[in-house]
Amino acid sequence: MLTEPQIQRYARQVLLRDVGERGQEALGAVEVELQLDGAVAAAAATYLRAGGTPVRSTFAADGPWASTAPLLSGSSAPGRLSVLAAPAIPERAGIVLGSSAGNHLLWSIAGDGCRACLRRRVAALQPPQVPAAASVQLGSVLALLVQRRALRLSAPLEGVELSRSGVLGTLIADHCTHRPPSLPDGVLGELLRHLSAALPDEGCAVLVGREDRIRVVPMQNAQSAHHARDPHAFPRTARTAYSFDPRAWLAVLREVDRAGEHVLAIAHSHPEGESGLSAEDRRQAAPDGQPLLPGVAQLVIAFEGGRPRSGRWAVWTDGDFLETPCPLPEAI
Amino acid sequence: MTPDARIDITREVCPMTFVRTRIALERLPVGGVLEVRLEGDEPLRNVPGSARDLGHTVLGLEPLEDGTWRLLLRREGTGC
Repeated sequence: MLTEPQIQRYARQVLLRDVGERGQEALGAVEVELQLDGAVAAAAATYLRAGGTPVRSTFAADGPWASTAPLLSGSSAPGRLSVLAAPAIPERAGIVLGSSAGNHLLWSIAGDGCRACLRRRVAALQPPQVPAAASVQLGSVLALLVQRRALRLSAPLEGVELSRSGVLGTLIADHCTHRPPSLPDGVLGELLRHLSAALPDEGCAVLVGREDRIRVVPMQNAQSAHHARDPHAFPRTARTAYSFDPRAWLAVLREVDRAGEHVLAIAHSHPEGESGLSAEDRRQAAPDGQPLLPGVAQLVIAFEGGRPRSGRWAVWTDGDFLETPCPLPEAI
Repeated sequence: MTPDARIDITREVCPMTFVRTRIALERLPVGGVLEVRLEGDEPLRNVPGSARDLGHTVLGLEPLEDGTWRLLLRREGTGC
């Protein structure tokens, strides 16, 4: 609960739709570790402290802005947030500031945001070289990104660009391909029901969408039809292998493209076997040591006695499929 | 209707009129009813509308004999 002096000082901020009393408390519950110096850092620290967020600077001593020290509510374990110069990457939640060809970029990452995605974006950035005229503007944008993070309004990875001519733009991180998508229980349940219906054959499906809206596209296992047509080229039937009908697969890709979605993962089942990619699965998914579908995860669900037993994700990472468990819901 | 909480903002001026109201609403559970006593044109114009903008429900607004107004607001889950 805010104290009376805090209500008086932060009144105009409390009025803002996304702030209120709880938001103001959240702004005071993070501590910013500013690992930058110069006028950008001074401007950001001024805005943040005036807004109620404590700032520790690892470079400069407290400047004149310290007179607006926040009225701390005495949070014993504040969340930490680091502000770093590119190309450094924060270990926890933080902001990275860098420059490229006279433009300035700020990337904001959540504590559990994908480091690999951030690394890819800041690798080519130089440490910030900010002319004095742009410092205050950049410092205020930096403060805003910190506040958005503290208020939990930010995407896991988001950014802002201040162009050399002074134009601000938002930077959208396209979908992360370093981690398996996170499936809501409803989506996973729908997938498991589809795979169950295919038993005793292997079942297959495609997971498409965007990170916040994922859907299952059930696919028919065309392996037995391929086998019937050409048993030499396709020695296995649908009992021990899966494949898509090429026309059905093309239709999925067209539909996904039209809807502005991504193919996030290919899922299939092992009716009586282990979850995780088999040697054959690996050979099919990365025939020449390179994934056939870059950025698309694989999900394998193992069944036992007609019931889903366990699931494993496989994501192509540094030249191989890295597997992680996919917890299954109790009931489907 | 008996409110769950009451505030008197007749001595407040803008923006504190709505700051007090918003904080009092936030401190109520969803569905809770807040009675706000207010006086003068500014809060009468702004407070009910601002509460509605945040998603809360205006249950009633009535003049009292002493020249102040009694505003009843219900805290909704969408607002804060």
